[in-house]
Amino acid sequence: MNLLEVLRDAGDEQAELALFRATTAEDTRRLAWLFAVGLDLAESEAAGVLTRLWEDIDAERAITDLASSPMVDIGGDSLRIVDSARRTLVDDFFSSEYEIALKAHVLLADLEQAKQAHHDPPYSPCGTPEDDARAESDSEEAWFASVRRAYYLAAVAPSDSSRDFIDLFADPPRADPEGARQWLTSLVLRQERRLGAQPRELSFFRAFETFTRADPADALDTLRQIGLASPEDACTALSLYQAGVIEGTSSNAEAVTRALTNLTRCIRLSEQLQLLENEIRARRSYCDTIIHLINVEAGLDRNESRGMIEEALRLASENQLRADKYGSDVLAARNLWTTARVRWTRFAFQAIANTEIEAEAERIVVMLAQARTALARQYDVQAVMLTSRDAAATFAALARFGEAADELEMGFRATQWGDAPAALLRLEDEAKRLRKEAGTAHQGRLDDLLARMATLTSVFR
Amino acid sequence: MLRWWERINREAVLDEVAELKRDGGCLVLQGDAYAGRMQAASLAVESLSVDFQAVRISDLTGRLWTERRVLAQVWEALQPPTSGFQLSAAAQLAGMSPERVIEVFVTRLKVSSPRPKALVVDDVGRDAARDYNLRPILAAIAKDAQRPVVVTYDPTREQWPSRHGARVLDLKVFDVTQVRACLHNTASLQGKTVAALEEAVELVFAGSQLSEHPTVRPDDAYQRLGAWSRGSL
Repeated sequence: MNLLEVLRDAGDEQAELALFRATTAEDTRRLAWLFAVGLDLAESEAAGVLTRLWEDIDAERAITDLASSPMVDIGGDSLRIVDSARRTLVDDFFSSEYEIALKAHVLLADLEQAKQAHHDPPYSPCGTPEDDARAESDSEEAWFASVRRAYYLAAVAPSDSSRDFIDLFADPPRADPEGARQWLTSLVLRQERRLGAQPRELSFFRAFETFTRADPADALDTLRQIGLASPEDACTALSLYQAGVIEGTSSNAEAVTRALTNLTRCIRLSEQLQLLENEIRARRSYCDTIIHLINVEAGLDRNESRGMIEEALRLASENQLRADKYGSDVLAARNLWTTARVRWTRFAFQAIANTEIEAEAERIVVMLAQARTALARQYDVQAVMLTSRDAAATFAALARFGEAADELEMGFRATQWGDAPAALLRLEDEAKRLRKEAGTAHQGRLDDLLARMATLTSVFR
Repeated sequence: MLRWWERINREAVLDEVAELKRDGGCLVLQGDAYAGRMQAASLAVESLSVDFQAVRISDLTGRLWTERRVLAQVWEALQPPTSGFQLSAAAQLAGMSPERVIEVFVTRLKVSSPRPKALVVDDVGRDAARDYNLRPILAAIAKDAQRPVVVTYDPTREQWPSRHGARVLDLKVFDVTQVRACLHNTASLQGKTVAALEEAVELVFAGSQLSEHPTVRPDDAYQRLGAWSRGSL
């Protein structure tokens, strides 16, 4: 066999596939198709599905043969098709044996449904910490199995698949919701050709990918369009949240006001659809946006601002109960931080009695410390730095500059295990402000801190 | 474990690993999906294994690969053997500050077992958001423990930031000399004629012959040599 001729006849784009076809037995090629389609597929599982698709296939021999193919990475407990070849092989499967390819997706979806049922944890109200850890792990595994099932369904029932993807996105595992959402989104985008008839849902996931990995502003138009259109479903609720988050930090007061409108709609719709996680985070973002609006909108009068602060405080307290009930440390910690920031804004607006100032400031720093500890466990560097900044501002307001400097130091120490450029710059701004206010007593210490910050921030400025 | 066609020599990688073995530190092997990151890391593991116990953290299942999961796997890999029930790595990590995590990892890396440990982590940042922290955490662990830490990384979204104190090596394409050397140095091909081996070289570089110094992406080289290996049996 002249492989050079095979290559020349194939052309550039199909070169590797042509070589693979020329040097691989049919059974092995079929197995490669299955592994290209499959996610996290064990060899024993693949063998079972293989024989249901092609009755006379020698699965064991095919597995042994495929292991020596350059199309697979080897190691661990299973074979994996190399990333560069996966899509080519899936296309080859569909173009060579279309009906079998569809059946493969159905069988793999059934496999995941069985795993999902197996991992569905029983309710255990008085579990030990070990029981709780196992139950959380089971719950996560059930979620991942459901996502993989939705992935396979994309080929046979794209409407059901996209609906499932949205529902699973709205209810991610408690421990790492954002990571889980990104993984889910990556799988949706791998199936985007099959989900082309679901443009709304696909647009949402593309926008989310852009939001998390590139420039949030690029995602905004798409999210707003989905949010404005009917029907009022989970996709709309999720889009309204993301759009609200993006515009809620704008320096343009009109955009911030628009964010409040979107988040109000998002909260109402999420309550209606019982999307509890989305409702909680939307309500928290609403409170954050109020604080931001008070800072950017020059035209607000004092009474109006105080009214908005009281509204935000009421919502944040209501949200804390819901976050605790939902059982997410992440949501509870972020909400606590928001509550502290709302209280600090009220404090800064001198909206509390003089006799209460010191006690209120103490409450704020305790809240910030609690939130910071919980967020540090999530490796949220930005949150650690900014909660330290907020605590420093609180202490500085009480003229306790030593403690303020301690807080800034704590925030800066977070950079040894990570740095978030925007947060680091804001921390540095607070340190400069504190140095002006602190006078000579803490000047040396603050100069030293600023010098250390400058070695990092000079890269960003 | 490398197959013969994946053993095309990467002198730059091995030189950097040799430096790591002397002084410790973090080495980043950076390249896209065609750069052969996994194979480069496997070569690094082989080199490290002469003097260290190389602990490799990798995911071939396509599961969630966030920093928390990677750290959980590192935790499990470096954990000393214990009896009785242990909370999962993820649960233990969830209760720990990042400074404490770095402290624990540094201690465990430094402990001889009987040989000192080195860490190799594949696909750092695969499922990460912007501003994620695994990169500086791994660099900090390598520096404080003074042990080798090798990571592979896809810079398609963002280059590895230089401020994290790791040595970054961009994985390069292969040239004819490198591919030819691999063919001639492979024991299982000793019976092949020179002409047959030159056919393999021609196959690998088919499509890039017009260039004076043809090159090939590593992944393409592996695919073509692997196919040639199967086709010539």
